[in-house]
Amino acid sequence: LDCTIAVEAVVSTQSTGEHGNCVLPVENQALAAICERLSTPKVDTIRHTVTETKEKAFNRMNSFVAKVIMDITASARFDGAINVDINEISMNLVPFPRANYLVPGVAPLQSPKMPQQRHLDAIFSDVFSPTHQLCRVDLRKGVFLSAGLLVRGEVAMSDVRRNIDRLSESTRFIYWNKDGWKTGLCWVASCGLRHSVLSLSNSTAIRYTFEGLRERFSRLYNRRAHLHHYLNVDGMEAEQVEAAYESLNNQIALYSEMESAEPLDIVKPCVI
Amino acid sequence: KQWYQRRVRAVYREQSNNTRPGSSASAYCRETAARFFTPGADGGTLIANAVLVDMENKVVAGCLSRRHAGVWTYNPRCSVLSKQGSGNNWANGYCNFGETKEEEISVAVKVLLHSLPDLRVALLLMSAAGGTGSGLGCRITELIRDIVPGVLLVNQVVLPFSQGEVSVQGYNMLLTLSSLYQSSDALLLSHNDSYQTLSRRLIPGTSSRDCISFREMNRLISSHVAGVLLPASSAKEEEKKGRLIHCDDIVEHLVPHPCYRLLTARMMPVISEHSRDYTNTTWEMLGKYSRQMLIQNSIIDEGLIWSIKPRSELLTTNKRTQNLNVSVSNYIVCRGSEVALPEVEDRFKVADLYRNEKTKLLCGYSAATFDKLDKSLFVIDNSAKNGHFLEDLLSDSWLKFQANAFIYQYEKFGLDREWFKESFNVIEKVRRDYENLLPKK
Repeated sequence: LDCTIAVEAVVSTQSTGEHGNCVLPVENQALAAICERLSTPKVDTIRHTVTETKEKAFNRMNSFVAKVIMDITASARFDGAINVDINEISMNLVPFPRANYLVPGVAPLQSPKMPQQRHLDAIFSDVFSPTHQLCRVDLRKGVFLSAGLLVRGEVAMSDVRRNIDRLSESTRFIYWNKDGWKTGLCWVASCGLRHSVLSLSNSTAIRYTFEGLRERFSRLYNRRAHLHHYLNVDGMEAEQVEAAYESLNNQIALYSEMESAEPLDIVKPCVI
Repeated sequence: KQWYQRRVRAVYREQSNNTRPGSSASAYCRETAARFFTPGADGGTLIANAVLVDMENKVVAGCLSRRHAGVWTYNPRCSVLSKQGSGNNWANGYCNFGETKEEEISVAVKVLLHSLPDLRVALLLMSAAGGTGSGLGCRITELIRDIVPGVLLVNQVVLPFSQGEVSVQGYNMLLTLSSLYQSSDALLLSHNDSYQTLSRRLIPGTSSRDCISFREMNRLISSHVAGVLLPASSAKEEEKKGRLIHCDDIVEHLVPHPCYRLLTARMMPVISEHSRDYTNTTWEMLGKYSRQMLIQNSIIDEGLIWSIKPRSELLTTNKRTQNLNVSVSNYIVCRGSEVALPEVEDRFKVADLYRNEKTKLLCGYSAATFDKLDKSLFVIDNSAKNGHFLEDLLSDSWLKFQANAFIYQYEKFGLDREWFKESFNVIEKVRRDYENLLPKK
């Protein structure tokens, strides 16, 4: 099962990437890891436990994805000091058409019935840590092209600014977007939480995820293993798979290039 | 976006404060009403001479629904709304909405102009960082220029927090300023950073940590604008005292040369309502502080360095050049009781404060108080340091432009790299012109 997923992932990723204004990648394994950290073990007969926990586990995993969508659309549904609509997210966070992957991070992460305990500043720190990303990306390994912070709840602008200042010290942004933060502030909090933050990170670190995907794909594709399942479907051509693979390579190259980008010598415009 | 429209309301509120019946200066009230309002059909309520435009509906809808204590209201026929928003994209505002909404906006403007046969000056309130205020605002400026070419256009432009509200704000500011430099007569700039600091003065007990809402900042910006544009009389000795200074007189005085169009408004005193009863102001103090604010290009009366002063006032014989602001032109207005105008005037008449030492000062006064302040002094200047912020704007935006970052977002709506290059050229020239006003070290 794992092997064909790689093929599907490559083709659909590149298709989405080419046509979508921005893509929010989510990995089941990241979601499962989050759920596991939050879940409490059930004492029951073995078979009953497996079925119940597995079903509930998928529900819980999906609930994080739902939260991302709710947070992105919160500004459109409720009022706040700084409303951010989806057009603005795309405009501010996607500097090039193909650098359009925004890794979602969620904080706080807690079981719905637990009272909120995390301090606001801790939430801001958490939201960029590897354990809070919905895709297995270690943001510390890359350079930020831009970062979005969609804050919900009773949070003052000064709190947001203070945390941005603090995070900026340990975050590497690309040289031409050193101040590449986009903030949204919605007064209405998520259900059950006093305040929460959704981060959308456009980071070159995603290339490691793509490289892993490319490797798994190559292992199969080099032997043309399982390919006939796809080519037997009407409308699916071998060239499409080739093109998707090529596109993935280009994507990795683009992000790698930006990771090591340096400013050019000419820094000021001249009057011509 | 959300907040810039609130300032429209606030400007009119300031002016309406002075038109309440029973106010002592009735000629002043009549002039204010004539300048900014048109009598309503019912004869009682005044209709603001304004057109409201936004590509989102919440703010304008809010403005239209308010009744302002029955004194004045907006004309719903003079409003243009949409529901989409411009997504912080200047090109979306300028090219896309500029085209699709042109007809509707044109109609709304013409409805207003129909009741204003003697229009001399149009004031446009907009922001430079977003998509609608900046892009569409520029397009509307051009539109009005086409419809009424003889009318002077003044754009009051809000510049965003330097720490960044929007990644592409640099581009949007560049495109806005460059466009307006070609279609508008004067740009009155308001920096969010400065107004936020200033707003803190109005709320007692506020520390620098606390959040100040846009509402307070807007109120201050509108006080500055209103204080300058409300009726005032000429105080020139050779002219008959009491000659009204019209808005076009102000603009023509402030912008004598097309290269220099950047203006800043300053006001003294800035105190909260609670503190007013405990504060005694004198014209000497107001004049002294507001001149120092001008010299240091500040809109706040704190942190002033009194040792920086005109050469003619320096006590030591070592008259090395100081970092003084130099004006192309200044306009000051004194409002309130017992205006000792010559005293204030003399402070601003110092030759060192002007380009090539040619004093260009217009003074106005009004016995009517502003916003219940016993004495208030407004300065609006076209001075060298108004162009100072352009340096950082140009270098930050140039880095992005060289990396080609975000450009495709603008290309989607019809802008190209040439348009950007042209904008860089225009703004670099403005920056250089203003820098050259200052004496060489």
